[in-house]
Amino acid sequence: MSEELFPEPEWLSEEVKTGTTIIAVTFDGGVVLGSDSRVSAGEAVVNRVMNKLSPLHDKIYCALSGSAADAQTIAEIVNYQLDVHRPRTQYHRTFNKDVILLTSPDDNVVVKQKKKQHLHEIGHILNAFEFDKAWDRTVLRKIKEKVPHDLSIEVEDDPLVCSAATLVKNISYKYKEELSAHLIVAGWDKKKGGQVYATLSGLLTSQPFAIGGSGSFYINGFVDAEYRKNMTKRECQEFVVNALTLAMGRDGSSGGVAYVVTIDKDGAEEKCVLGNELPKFFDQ
Amino acid sequence: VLPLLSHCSLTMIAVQMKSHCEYDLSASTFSPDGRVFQVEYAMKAVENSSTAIGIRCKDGVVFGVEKLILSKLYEQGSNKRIFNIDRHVGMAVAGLLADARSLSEVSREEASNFRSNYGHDIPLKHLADRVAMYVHAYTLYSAVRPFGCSFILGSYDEDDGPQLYMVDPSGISYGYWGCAIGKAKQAAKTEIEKLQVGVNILYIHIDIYIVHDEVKDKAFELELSWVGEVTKGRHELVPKDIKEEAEKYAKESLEEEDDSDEDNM
Repeated sequence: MSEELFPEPEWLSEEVKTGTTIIAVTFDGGVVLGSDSRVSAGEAVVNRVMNKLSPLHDKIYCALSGSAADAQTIAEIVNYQLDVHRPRTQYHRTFNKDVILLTSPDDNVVVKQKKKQHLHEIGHILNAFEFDKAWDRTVLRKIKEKVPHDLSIEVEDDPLVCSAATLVKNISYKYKEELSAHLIVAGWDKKKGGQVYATLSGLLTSQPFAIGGSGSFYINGFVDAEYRKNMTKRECQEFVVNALTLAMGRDGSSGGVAYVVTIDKDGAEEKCVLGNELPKFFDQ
Repeated sequence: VLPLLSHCSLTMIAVQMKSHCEYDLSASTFSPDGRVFQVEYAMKAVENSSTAIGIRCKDGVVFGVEKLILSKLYEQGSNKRIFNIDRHVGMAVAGLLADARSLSEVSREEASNFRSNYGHDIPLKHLADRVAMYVHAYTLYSAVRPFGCSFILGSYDEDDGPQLYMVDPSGISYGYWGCAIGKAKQAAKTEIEKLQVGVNILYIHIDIYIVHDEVKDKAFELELSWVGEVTKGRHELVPKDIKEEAEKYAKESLEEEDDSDEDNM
């Protein structure tokens, strides 16, 4: 009875799409990625603060658009594959290293939990702290730079952006009938610097910038006119935020806040630009 | 009881001929002093083959293989011992040629799969590790025998520069500045050590000629290939004219008995 009076809203059965605006732009020394934050199911906004910029690796991110589930799954699979790709070094994403200062140089090997416990109990540990494994890699790299080349430390090379993009493309192409997601892969590697790859429906092309999602149609003219080669980091960030704002202003399925990720040789920096901080355009 | 006795007598005879019976029948057996004899025997197969040399220079890698001509009826250029693994990787082999050919196919597949999955050329260390793992797998079981060949892999990349790796039948891979495998590898290594590190010269000719002479075999054919800046990163056989020029130079300097480090040609 109640079902006739109050029929189930259509959006409950609609596929959850990230009707979206995503953009990635190269600048002199890196890339900037940007996305809006609206996830819609039909007319309803299911999530108004979703971050559609997903990390594939430390310096490689991808921007999601199309079906939310499909896009997220592809990003997770490629993230896993890139982790596995690390040559010979055992890395676990959430494993933190312990640094333990010991009172005497004789207590030199502290590996297992029980031993640490024991040392703590008998008062042999001066201080202990954990640090994130990303720090570990930076330290290793710095050591390798200073130390002569014949000291063999396994510092794994970061994967190339084109590797990540190829992995995404392989999945998108193989399952192109079943999936409907478009990921833009962008990042920095030491071989070619900042790069942006579009992987729409299983193609793979490297471009100076790329836009995607339903909101992108409204800003095609804008980005074509305003993009310049070799912008500075600041100019590029402004360009991305402007493009997102304009798209969010006209596309019903894009909105919310703007997420911006800047990637250069020093790493990735995530930023969120709230609605009231977005630039104002002609708004009568 | 009788069969047991006959087994004992056979073993006795075997003991007289070599001191490590019982432990060398399969690759899955260790000897009491910790050796796997089957793998060592496989390495002997490599030592009986003619020499192959790889030299890593400042701007490229050069391979040279001494192919002994066993019969005048052989067509020139047949039974190649230098293979192209990928556009940018070359492989020179010594040992059982059939085993080497099979491994070259394995390497090609590895390189091809890598390119298909990751979209770029396979780094040489990665390829060497993968093929070495494959070779090692055949040293673990009694149902198969180890590969009876060693090979040298070389490549050149703009960013990583020239690289050279050698894999032996035990499944280890080593990175090298210069290495030699096969019959005259000791003599060749001595010659290579005399070279200054960091020049791209076809000294490999002189090495092979010196080494060959010292071995005192019959006629041989020289197979020469390179990969480097001069070939824009592609692995190719050295062009005929350069090869002939180098051969002439090598023969002349041998006659003068002068292995000095001259300028490049």
